[in-house]
Amino acid sequence: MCREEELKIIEKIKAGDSLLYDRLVLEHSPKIMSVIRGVVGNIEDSEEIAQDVFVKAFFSLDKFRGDSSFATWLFRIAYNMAISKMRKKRYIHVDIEKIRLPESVNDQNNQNEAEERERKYIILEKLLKNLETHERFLIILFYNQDKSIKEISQITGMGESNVKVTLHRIKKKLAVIADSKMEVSYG
Amino acid sequence: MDSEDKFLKDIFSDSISDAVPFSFVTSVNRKIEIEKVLRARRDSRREIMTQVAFFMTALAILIAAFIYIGKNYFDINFTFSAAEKFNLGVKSAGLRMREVFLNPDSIIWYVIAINTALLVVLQQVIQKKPYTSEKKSK
Repeated sequence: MCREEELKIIEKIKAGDSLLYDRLVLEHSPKIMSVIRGVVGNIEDSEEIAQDVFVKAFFSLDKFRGDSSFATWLFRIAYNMAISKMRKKRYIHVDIEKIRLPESVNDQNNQNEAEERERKYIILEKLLKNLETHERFLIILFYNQDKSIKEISQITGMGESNVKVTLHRIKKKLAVIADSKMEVSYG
Repeated sequence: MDSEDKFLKDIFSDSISDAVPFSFVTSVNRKIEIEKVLRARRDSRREIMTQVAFFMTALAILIAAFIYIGKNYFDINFTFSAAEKFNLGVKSAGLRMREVFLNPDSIIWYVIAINTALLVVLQQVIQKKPYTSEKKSK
């Protein structure tokens, strides 16, 4: 869906055609789901939070002015919501088994590939467990969603230089945590 | 992009599922409908509370105005015979309160308050007029 089409849909929803909101949910839910899964690390809670993000977005649609893309605006809501929910519930457990990709038939056939994937899951779990909520969000936006520094800055409300510094700090932190694993995997 | 970036990109892009359950859109719609009902209830409750508060304030001002006008222009003396039989300090407290609230300096503030209340009532009436005419036309 292109930006113009998206803006037209949003205008129609604002005018009262709320059924069109389904299209926006279908378009953006995989990205939001993926990020929240990574941050929360629990499939049931992440589903709940992702749904709440779309509900909040629906009722705040009047505030969307199109300065940034709709996806960026949604990520901003997701960021604030994930942080506040995590603070309330105090999730500490990242269960990678529950957020991992389903294994395909090819993986089962290809032993090496399956082992490699398994190793990645273990590293990912170890990395995410040792990060704060906002750090997880930042790192997932950067590496999983390929968001630029500018976009991350818009989403989180941090300055661009602050985002750069934080990402650098997280990378250093991850390097220490995953040092042994990296050596095993990429030695 | 250095080797660390490549490693992290590899780990993060490959491992987190973006699958969405089939019922996701339905659940979102259901939550939106529930929220709409809750918001409507909340709005109506807030409106009732505002109206009650407004009514109470207007009533208090009206009573104060009646007492003031009755006392100063019609020489009506307000006495509460039943209350006078008791002496629980209420009477003296009432007199003290009267000294505070009914003195020449405070009267000007009452006049201002009454005028403000009248202006608020006028504003409310004018504000609601287009809305009711719009409703009638529908």
